[in-house]
Amino acid sequence: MNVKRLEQILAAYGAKSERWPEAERDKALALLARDAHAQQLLREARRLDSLLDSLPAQELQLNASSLAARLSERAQETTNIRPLAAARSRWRIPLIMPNLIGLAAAAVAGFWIGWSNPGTDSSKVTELVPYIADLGEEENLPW
Amino acid sequence: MDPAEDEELMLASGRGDRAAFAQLVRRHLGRSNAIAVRMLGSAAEAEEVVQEAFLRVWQKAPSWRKDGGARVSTWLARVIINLCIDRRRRARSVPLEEVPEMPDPAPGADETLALEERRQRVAVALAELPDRQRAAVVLSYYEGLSNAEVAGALEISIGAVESLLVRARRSLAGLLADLARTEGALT
Repeated sequence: MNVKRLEQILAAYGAKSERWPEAERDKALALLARDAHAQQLLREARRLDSLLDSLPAQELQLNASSLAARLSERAQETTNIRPLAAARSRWRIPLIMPNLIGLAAAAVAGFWIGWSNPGTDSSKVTELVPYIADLGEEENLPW
Repeated sequence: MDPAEDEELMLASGRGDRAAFAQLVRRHLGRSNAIAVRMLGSAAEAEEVVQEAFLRVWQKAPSWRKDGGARVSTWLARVIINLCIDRRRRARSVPLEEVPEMPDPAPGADETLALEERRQRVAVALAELPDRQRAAVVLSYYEGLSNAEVAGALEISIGAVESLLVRARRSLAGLLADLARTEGALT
């Protein structure tokens, strides 16, 4: 222990020796007992401590029991231990709903198209074939 | 405060034991509130932070693992400090002079007013410190946590705690120098 180290201890923990690192406390006190400069450093640390100590501890407004009772009404995070069945019952319905809606919509649309178009004349399809063939040839033209 | 007892209370809370949780709150509410008040300089804001912190204790208790690392008290201090720092970062636009909120002085006496002014100055100086320096002073000087506990709460090495404290106290000495000169307290 030297004055430089004591200065560091005082600068970090203040003047009260019970706050100093236990392993160095006795040596620091011994140095203080014999060194005038160390004693001056201690007085300076005490002055800052005195200012810091003027800040009072705030009076507690919260009641622990009522706070605990109120908070423990809330759900805990149990994602790791929630049974799989419980998880399924919560999420299954929302997940399959879009599929059911889509299936129903497709069925209605199909029924409506089939109802409103009495049939397809196969001769019209035959008439369209050459044009389709022409388009295919156009794609091969060299421009 | 026995850390092993905290562990048992935390594990019981995780099993939904509301009485154990209430005991845990009773054991830690005072210190948690003191840390939050000194970090924020406002009793009202500190109350909100403390409630949020204990809600996290309750909600996270089921996933708390014995011997999983930090003590309950250290973990809780870390939660409080982080919530306070987050809150201050969100409220940076608030003028510094409005940050501390100390009890009203008793009416009348000049001495009381002088003491209150001094308290306000100290509170402002504390509020002006960088977040981690302020947290180190609050945990170490005001709450008496060991360097290992401060290191755990701030997620820094034990060796870094001392240098953080040195910087913090030197800044405070500088910020309060004029007050100290007026009162003949500091040279």
